[in-house]
Amino acid sequence: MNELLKIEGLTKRYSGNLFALNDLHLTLNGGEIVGLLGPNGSGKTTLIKLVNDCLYPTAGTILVNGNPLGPESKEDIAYLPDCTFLNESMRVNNLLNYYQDFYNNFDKDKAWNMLRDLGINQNARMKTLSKGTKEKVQLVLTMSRNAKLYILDEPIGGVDPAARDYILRTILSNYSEDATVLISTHLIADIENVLDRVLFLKQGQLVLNSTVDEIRSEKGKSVDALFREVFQC
Amino acid sequence: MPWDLDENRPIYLQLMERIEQDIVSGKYNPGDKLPSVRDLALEAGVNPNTMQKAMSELERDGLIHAKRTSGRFITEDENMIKELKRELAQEHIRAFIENMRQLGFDINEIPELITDAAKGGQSNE
Amino acid sequence: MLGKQFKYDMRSLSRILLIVHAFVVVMAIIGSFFSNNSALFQSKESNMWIILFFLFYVIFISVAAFSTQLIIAVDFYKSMFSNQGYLTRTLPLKHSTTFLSKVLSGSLWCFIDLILIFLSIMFVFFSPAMLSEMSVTYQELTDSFQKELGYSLTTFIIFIGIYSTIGVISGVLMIYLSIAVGQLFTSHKILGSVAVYFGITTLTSLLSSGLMIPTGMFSVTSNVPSIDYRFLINSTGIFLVMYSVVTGVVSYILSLYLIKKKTDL
Repeated sequence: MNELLKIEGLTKRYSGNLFALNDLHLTLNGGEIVGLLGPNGSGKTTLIKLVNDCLYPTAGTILVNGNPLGPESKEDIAYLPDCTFLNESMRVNNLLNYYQDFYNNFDKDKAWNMLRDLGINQNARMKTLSKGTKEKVQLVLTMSRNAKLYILDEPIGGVDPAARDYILRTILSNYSEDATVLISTHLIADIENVLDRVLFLKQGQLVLNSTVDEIRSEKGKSVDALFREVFQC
Repeated sequence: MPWDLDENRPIYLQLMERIEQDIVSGKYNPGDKLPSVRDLALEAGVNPNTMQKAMSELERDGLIHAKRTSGRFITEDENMIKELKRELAQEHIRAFIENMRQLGFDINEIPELITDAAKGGQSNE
Repeated sequence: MLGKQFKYDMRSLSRILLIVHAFVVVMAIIGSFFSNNSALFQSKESNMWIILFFLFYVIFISVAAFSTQLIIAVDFYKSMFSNQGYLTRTLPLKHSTTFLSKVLSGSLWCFIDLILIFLSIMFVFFSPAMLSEMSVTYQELTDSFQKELGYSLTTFIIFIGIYSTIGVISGVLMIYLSIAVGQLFTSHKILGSVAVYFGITTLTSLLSSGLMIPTGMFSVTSNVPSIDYRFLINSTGIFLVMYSVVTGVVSYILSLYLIKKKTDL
């Protein structure tokens, strides 16, 4: 079992003694679909941004497939942020070429096929597309990479149920035994059947790291129900 | 469409039940080849590891066996399948009897209720 | 990888800058048309129009130069620190490669801008017709230049060329540094960047003049503080160039540090 992600003592402190993450330890192996669950403000996005070198840590180390953060870790990670991160003046087919130019593990044909299945006009400029379509383009580009670690930040958040199904199917069909998908969400019920493992993040601390089956057999309830218990207001 | 799964029970158990049902009802014939774990997981809308676990359990029970490179096949032991069918039926019946008891029926009243319901169903067709 | 990043950076900048500079060229053509046809200078009325045109031309050139700097700054900000930063920072490139690419693309466009503006001014204000209007020939111009300053116009132009190139790169680096420092502010980041930019440019100018005083390169004893241009090719020139190099290198190192270690998207 390879240690795909190894985080030790990860801390992120903002001014005014606000700890978004506090001494977090986490190891993820390959071949799992993992849910990063927690209410807003629990540190999910902070953790994700730190692993992707989009925030700098106050303390701690992160290793991706044995490498510290850098060009190798970025080649190994396919990251889907929770916002429009593409250059909106580019056309969809330009973006395909862009990804192909920079990422060795980008499968342009796969992306092309997915876009075609979704009926997205490849000549269109990003800024002319609707919000939902933009999100689909971003998802397609991310999932067309043959990465070792996929990190999806709230991929099913503002999306209609049909699109949600499509996204979950895409995640499942991308499944490979060495790759791991880390999905952060607060919509647990929709995604529970797809997860191997769940991580509960509460106020910057990891309060649970368990497989879905363990939770259901040991606690006799769904992850969704357990979540409500753990995080009740 | 993803399979309809109860959220309080382990998923792999429910997957096993569904596959057993499919075997027993004839959707899969003895000796048939099962779809791959990935395809079945995709159809069910579940994690492939969970589907894998369900398959492994069914293998242990002898309902499925794996041929090294060709995939997984339903057993050709028709007796085993018949046994399973009976067992599953018994489970449903026991649950039914329990439900009737909770409604206040005596066990002797049940056969008549059944024949009435069956006739009523036929006259409605 | 540097090449690929550079290709995309240039594409992004060129989208607008090509249009701006196409206009610069067009204006230069129109302007040199006017200045080459002294027949048009005859009537009082047409003179007025021509003066208006040249006024407009000067304003336009200034706007073009300013907008070049602005577009380079905005493009840098957008690709590094806005939501697009999520894409830029997660490409499998070292930060130094990405940054170098932006320095090169920004500098290249600044340089193109400088050259085009310089050439257009040459064509419009120093065309043969204009020179004859000023009763000066090119030869007379260069001869008196040589006599006054002790070195030829050509040497001067070469020096200005080198100094400008280094100045352009240094200038772009200062813009980038200001933006990177502005990101450290928790609020009003853009305002912060602008303030930092003015702060840095003012400080470096003052420091430069300040350093020149004790060495006699910058004379403060006469009525107007001034540079003795006779030494431009020797000590003063070398100092100015070295100073630009140092400010450039310092800006580069600081910017890269901030990008690598102190960026929170």
